[in-house]
Amino acid sequence: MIKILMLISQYAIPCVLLFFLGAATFRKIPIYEIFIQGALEGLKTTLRLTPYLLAIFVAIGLFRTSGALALLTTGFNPLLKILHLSPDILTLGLLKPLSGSASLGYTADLLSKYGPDSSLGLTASLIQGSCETTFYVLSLYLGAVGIKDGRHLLAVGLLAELASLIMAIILGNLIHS
Amino acid sequence: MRIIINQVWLFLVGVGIAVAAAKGQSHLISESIFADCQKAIQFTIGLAGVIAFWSGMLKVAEASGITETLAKWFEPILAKLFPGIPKGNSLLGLIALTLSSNMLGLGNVTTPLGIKTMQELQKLNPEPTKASNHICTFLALVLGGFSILPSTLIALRAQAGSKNATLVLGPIILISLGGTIMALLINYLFLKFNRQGKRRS
Repeated sequence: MIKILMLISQYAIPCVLLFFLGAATFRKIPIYEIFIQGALEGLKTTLRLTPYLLAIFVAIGLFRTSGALALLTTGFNPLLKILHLSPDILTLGLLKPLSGSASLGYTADLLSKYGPDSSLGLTASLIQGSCETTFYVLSLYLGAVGIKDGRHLLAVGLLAELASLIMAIILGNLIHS
Repeated sequence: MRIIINQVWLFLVGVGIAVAAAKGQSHLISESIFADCQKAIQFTIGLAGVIAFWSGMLKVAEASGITETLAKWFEPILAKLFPGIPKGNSLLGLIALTLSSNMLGLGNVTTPLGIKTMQELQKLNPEPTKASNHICTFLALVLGGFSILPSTLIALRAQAGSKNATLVLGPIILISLGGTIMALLINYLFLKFNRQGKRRS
């Protein structure tokens, strides 16, 4: 089962591309010209995204390097003691919705520090694998089309993240024992 | 959300600066800003190529009718989640493509596909500065983060010397499915009880 999934992930992109090209040839479409048109639109989109990405990168960077994130985690310490949770897991849980690359790096740190098959390593893996980068996704996708009012979407993202986080902590401890 | 995102940004930047200053390490502020501005632009430039490439490819796929065919296949499921999208619109095909690449963990492909889908959804949006119901449902599906193949994570675990790197696969499918159901449910409730879109902003 896992092997099949790995094969799919390896061949998904080449297969999709060949399929696109095959269909275009079959329909006798001026493929090169249409590709260029689309690529130009893509570049314009990226330009529009830049300020949103800049804003989110700088804000998250400041919050982390200044030590504010560490301070916030320390504030939760009494609660963590009651729940028998490691502060590292909380940091990862706070980092994940903010930045995918930062949380991936943090997970890599945790895996080498505690071992990938330890209870903490497993929980961290589950968090990294199943939570989405809410702030990044929202600022990117809404920014791309110029939507300013995202209505309830931040709540949707953060509550789904919280649910996944709780499930990850429970299952992480379960599969370890 | 307009207010919330403003406050979140203000909170991150303001608290960050205040903490660094309080610790007497104000030099960190400008260093961090400089480093992250650089990172953001590098990231965007890296992204620009992939987005341009996949936008070109998607245009080809659209012109050859692929997205329309996909839309027909997925209509039975997606039409329930996205009522009111005109029949025969290739939009459902784009949504299906975005969600499948997200499930397979193809991050580099998901972003361009997702942005293209957003642009198409935006064409049906009567109030362009505010997320429409369709956009909310689409983003709830993305934010749920349903994943059947976290390939980066499994590689990371193997690299860290795990004896069973794929052990987490099953639980991740389960958890992310739960997260997606949660996201859809919350989104559904919000849309239902906030039909007039009472503006909090």
